[in-house]
Amino acid sequence: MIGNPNEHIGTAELAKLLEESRRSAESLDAADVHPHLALCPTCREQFEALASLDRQLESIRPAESRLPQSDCPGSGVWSAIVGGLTPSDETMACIEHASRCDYCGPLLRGAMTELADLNGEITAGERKQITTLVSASAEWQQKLVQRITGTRRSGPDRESSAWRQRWLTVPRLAMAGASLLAVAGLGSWVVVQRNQPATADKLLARAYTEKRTLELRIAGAGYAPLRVSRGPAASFTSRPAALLKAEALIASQLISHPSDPAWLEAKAEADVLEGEYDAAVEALHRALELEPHSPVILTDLATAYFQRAQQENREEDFGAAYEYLSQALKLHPDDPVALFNRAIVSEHLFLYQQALDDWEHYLRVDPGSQWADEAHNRADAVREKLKEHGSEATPLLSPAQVAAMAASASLGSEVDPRIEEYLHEAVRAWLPQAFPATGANGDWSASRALFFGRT
Amino acid sequence: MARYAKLSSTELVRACAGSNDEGAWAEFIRRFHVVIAAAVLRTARRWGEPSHSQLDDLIQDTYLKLCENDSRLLRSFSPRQKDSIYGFLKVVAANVVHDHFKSALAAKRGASQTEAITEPIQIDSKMAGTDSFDAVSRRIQLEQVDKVLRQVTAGKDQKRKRTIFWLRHRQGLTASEIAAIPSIGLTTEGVESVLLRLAIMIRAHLISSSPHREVKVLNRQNRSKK
Repeated sequence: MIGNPNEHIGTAELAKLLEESRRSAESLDAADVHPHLALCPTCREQFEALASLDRQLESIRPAESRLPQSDCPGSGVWSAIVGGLTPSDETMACIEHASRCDYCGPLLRGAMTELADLNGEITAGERKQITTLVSASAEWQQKLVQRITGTRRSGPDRESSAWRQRWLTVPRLAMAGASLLAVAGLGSWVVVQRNQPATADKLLARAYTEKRTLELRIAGAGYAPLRVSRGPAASFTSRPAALLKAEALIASQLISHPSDPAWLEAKAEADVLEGEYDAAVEALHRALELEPHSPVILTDLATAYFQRAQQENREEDFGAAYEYLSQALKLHPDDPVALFNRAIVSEHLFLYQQALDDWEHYLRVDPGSQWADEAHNRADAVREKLKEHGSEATPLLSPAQVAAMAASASLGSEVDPRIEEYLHEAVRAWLPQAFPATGANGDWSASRALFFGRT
Repeated sequence: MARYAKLSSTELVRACAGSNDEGAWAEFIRRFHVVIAAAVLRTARRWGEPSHSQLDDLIQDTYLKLCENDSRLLRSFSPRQKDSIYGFLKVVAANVVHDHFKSALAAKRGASQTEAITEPIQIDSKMAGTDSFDAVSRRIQLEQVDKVLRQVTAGKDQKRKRTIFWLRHRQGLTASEIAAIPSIGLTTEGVESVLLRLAIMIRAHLISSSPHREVKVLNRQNRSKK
């Protein structure tokens, strides 16, 4: 196609250029497609991006299927459709089906090719051949008229009935039945082995480790450094293979186990890895209703909220993540994944002291793994932050000072800006001082500080 | 017979359907014989070089097919446009020829091989996990693209846009082939334009929604600077 090299390419022309490049067997250099593309980087970039998307779509085109599905229309319908013989609503429904069916799509295409061929002008050679046939004679046609008007055939084709009778003999049926049972038995065993939630969990863990894009951990996944990819990494072909396999397995199992918390949890993990956080939250809430005291579900739910908080800047989701992790840790206080994750969530909530507490707890539980190295680094960073903050800030008021200032209006202005720190200090130090576990008398000023803090 | 010669094709078909009127049928054969014979000839050539007697038999079978079961096919014929009877007869003739050669081939091979293909097979969704890995990956990727496609085409005309997109990208039809399908209702340029717009929207969607673009670490650092 020759165009003006000095004018930007309009949408109609771009559409035509793309269509031409689709038809080309090999990928064309943009400059060869249109002279303007050699000169204009903007138009060239747009053309190349769209051509690249085309190639990606081409690469995932499935192979032709040899087996019809249960919802496939009869194979004879396609020639009727392309011949315009079916009602338009039926035609559209069938075309829509064929567009996404690897059995019917090729049949539709074949019917189109055939009709185009049949619609071609009858050549002189064909006409001659037709006139030389016996069927072109008046006598033959007269006999046919008599046959049509004299007899009407109906019922199934006799030849095909005879064939069925020949094939459906008792020994053949018995052999076929036995073979079918053997194959079904072996197949079921293989399918059962492969179709356990644990298999999906392993695949998801592998996918996570293969390409870790989450700060938080998922249960069972080996260590991998966090990958932060930037730019238009939009290719749907770049997902870890294990993730694709897990998704296929989960999708097939959820059909027959729609209310199985293990499959719902697996689906949610896959959603998180895909960046579908709303769907993950929804699935995990359903799973949690079915199994309310599962630390794994609680931990995953926290992860889904955490990711959504980051994606959509929803502060309240960070809070929800912290809450669900705390519930998980209440059930399993030494769960390394929940501890690791809550430490990170705390950092995001600026609860540095809590984060440090969790990191230190984590390192006691898991002192030697590669995850521990990351935990060490993050704990050091948190310590650094606390140190910086400590050197800048004045010390917190002691319980006695708080109690003394109880009636003063300045207590609020002193405490409010640092409420998180006071809260942490109250839980960490004042509470044990006020109500010692040993039964000894508590610290009176701590009790008063807690009382006034509450008000 | 002169009476029938004045009828339109549709009227003639109605006169023949389920009737034993020799005049109507004689006119039918006179008017449409060349169309049927040419369709039989071309279709049969796809299977090899047919003999004259084979062609005669197939032409006769086509007429008999039209009369079968009290002219069920003719009675079901409903013209969608002018001259659609010609397309109808070509399709019937082509089907008769294909059926003939398929069953001849089946008899030669042993019928069990083709019977399996003609019967719809219920694929158990639980068996999805046993598919080859490539096929599973492709299916997932196609589902992902379809999900995006549904989002970007939400609203009016979604079905048609999705159909056009998959006819192009899954079935490999060209824009002009898609435009030729009845009920698509667009010119080749119209189909090209739809495909372009969809490609632009999908690309934009994929870029904006990629989870790998969310720079969590940066986000955290920025927040801590507050």
